[in-house]
This record gives sequence, C-alpha cells and structure tokens, in this order.
Amino acid sequence: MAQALPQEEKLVKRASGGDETAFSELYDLYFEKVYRFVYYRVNHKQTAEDVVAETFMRVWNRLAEIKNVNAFSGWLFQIARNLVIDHYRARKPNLDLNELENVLAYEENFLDKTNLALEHKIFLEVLEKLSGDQKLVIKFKFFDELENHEIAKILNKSEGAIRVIQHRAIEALKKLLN
Amino acid sequence: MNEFNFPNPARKPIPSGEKEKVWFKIVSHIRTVRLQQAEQNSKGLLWPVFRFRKLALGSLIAMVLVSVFGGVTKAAEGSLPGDTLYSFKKAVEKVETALARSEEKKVKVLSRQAKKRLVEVAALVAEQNPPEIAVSDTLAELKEKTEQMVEVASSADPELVKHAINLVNEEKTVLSQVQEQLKGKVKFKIQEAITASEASIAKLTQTSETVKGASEETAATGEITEETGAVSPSPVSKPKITEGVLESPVLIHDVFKVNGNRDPENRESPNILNEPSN
Repeated sequence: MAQALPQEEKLVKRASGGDETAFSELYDLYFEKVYRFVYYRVNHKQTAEDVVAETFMRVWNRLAEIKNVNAFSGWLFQIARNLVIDHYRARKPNLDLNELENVLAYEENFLDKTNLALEHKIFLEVLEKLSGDQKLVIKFKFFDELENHEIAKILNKSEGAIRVIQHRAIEALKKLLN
Repeated sequence: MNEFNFPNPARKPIPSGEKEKVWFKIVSHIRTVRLQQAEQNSKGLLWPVFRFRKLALGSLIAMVLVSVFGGVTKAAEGSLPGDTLYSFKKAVEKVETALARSEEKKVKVLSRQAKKRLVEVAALVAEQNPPEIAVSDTLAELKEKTEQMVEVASSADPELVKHAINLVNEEKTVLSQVQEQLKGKVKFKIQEAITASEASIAKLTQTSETVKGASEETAATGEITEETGAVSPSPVSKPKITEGVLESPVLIHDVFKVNGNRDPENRESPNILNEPSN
C-alpha cells in the first residue's frame, strides 16, 4: 500500500486524538480534491457544500477508530463517494449502483468546454468505450487525481487489482486512440 | 502531465469562499459534539417533579415566539461565545427569565441557564487554545446565574433548596475536573468560580438546616385536633434566628411529650418540665 507522507501521518494521529488544528490542516490538504470529487458528481454547488461538509464531519466523528493512518485518504474518498451515492439514491431509489458513475455526467460541468482541446474531446469519447471498471479507474486517476490506494479503498479492491485494471485500460485506450 | 502523458484538461476553478464556508459548518458540528460530550460527562441534574401550573398568557406568547423562531433557536442551542448565534441564544434566555413569575419557575430557569454556562465553559476549555476572555466572561455569568438562583431558592420551597444544592455541587465537581487540565489565568478564574460555588453551597445548606429546624419545631409544638388526630401548626409564632441563635417563643414547660404515633402520651395532663435554673 502506498505510504502516506510522514507529515500527513502525524496529522492524522494528532487529529484522531481530538486535535482540531491537525484536523484543520488535513482539511486544507484534502478539501480541493474532495470538493472536486463531489461537485463534479452532484452538479450543484449547495449540495456539494453539504456533502463535503458531511464527509469531513463523519471523518471527525470516526477518526479515533482509524487503525491504519495510511488508509486515511482512501477512507476519506470512500465516505465522500458513499454520500454522493446516498444523495442520488434519495432522488432515484431504484438507481443501479453499477450504473451510477455513468449517470454522473460530470464532464458537462467539470470541464470548461470552451477551453477543451480537440484531443481532450476525443479522449472523452474514447473513454466511454471502455468497460465499467476500466472507465472508473481512469476517471478516478485522471479527473479526480486519486492515488491507487485511494481508488482501491473506494472500489473495495486491492491495489494490485487497481494496477491491473489501469494497465488494461491504458492498453485499450492506446488501441482506440490509434 | 499525468502518467498517460496526456495534459489534464482545463478545469473550472472552485468558487472563492467555498472552503471557508464549508469549514464553518464543520467547526459548528465539532463544537456541538463537544457540548454534547460535556453534557454527558456531567452527572445530570435530578430535576424536581415540579407541579405544573396553568400557563400564563406571557408563557403562551413566548411559546408562539419560540415556535416561529424555533429553527434558529435550535441552531443557536449549541453555539458558544463568539459564535454568530450566541447573542440570539442569550436573547432567548432573557425572555425566559422575564417570563418566570413564580419562585419555582425562576429557580428552574436560572438552574437551566447556569447549567448551560457550565457546559459552555467545559466546551471552551476543551478547545485547542481556550479563549481567555470568553472563558472569564462565561464564568462570570455562571457565577451570576448561580447566585441569583441561590437567592431565590433560599426563600422558597425546601425541595427547591435541595435541588439548588445538587446543582451547585455539580458545578463544583465539573469546574474542579476542568481546572485540572488548565494553566495560567484561566485556571485562576476557574478557582474563583469554585470558591463562589462553595460559598453558595454553604448558604444553601444553612438555609436548608434553618428550614428543617423550623419544621421540626412546628411539628413538636403542634396542636392535636380532636377529629383527625393530625398535628396542626402551633398557634405560636415561628422561631427566628438572631445572630445564628435560634430563638423560640415556645416556653419549655409548654412542650407535649409525644409517642411514636405523634400522639401526646397524656392528653389530660401534659408533662410539665421544670424550668432550668441558672
């Protein structure tokens, strides 16, 4: 598993002991990533604020239970993703979880289309042709800029499995782009 | 560039102020959790079973106001000194105090407000850098509410005195626990508050003993009624305290000896004791 930076490890340990300053530093480290992760899935500023706030509140409530400080960021994104799923399920109770990521038309909001270069547009079209897991892994890696251990935690797979999926996805993309 | 050697596409920037706005929600939550933990850690008051009285019109109006502003009131409940909604919380308390007419209600309201100050002190002290001024101000208010409550309870029902003693004992316990975690000026302020609590306990205990003494005296000198056998209060005036000495207008030779059923042993001829010689 990827190692958390020593500084981050210390912050997580301190925050798990109730240190609010350490927790605020973790918030500074992760806010932007988590916010983008959520915002470009819920497509609504107020909802994104609420979901991101709820994510960090849950982290604060349960931080004392964390056993492996290296798993902090993966756990953080797992909570964020679960809250996004809850949000969608509240709106559409019968939504198939496997199709959720495909329903999230975050490209519409995520990318500034006026500045989108041609190669980006082609890339996005090709991306849609990948299998479900491959598409998810590439989106998490490329758009959300998550690390393998974070993606593994979210998808409940091993890091090794994520690396394999990523490798196959890249090979498939190369073929399609060529 | 990422590992795909593909340039990351242009992203829309996160709106400014979002980070701070979200952080404010998180901090409010953290403080609410701390307040709840502080309340759970305190032993909890044994609220007396107050007799319910008819609601006065003023109370009814207050209820309407609270139901209208209920959402804000609820949100303000967890606020601490320095928070946006704290002044609203204090304003609601002023309304509560103004509407409390009977001694019973005043003691109840003042007890509740004193307990809130106590919980706020505990929550402020639990923060990373407890704000000295906010802690001092909150302690001063705790002292004020407690003294007001003691003042009202002292002239009220013995049951209220007992529960006022319980509250002040709880205050002393919580403040002592909090003091252990502190240093410097804040620790000194907490010590002052503990001293004030001890003075309140002493005053209430003295009141309690006086009231107990008076009621025992009343029972001993009460007249037996023919019909019920119940002891009625003595027609003589109540004893008074002068410089700590209980002065009773009842002469020693007027005392009836009573048996276990509180009936006089000899109703026809009371047992007259000799007056003490000097």
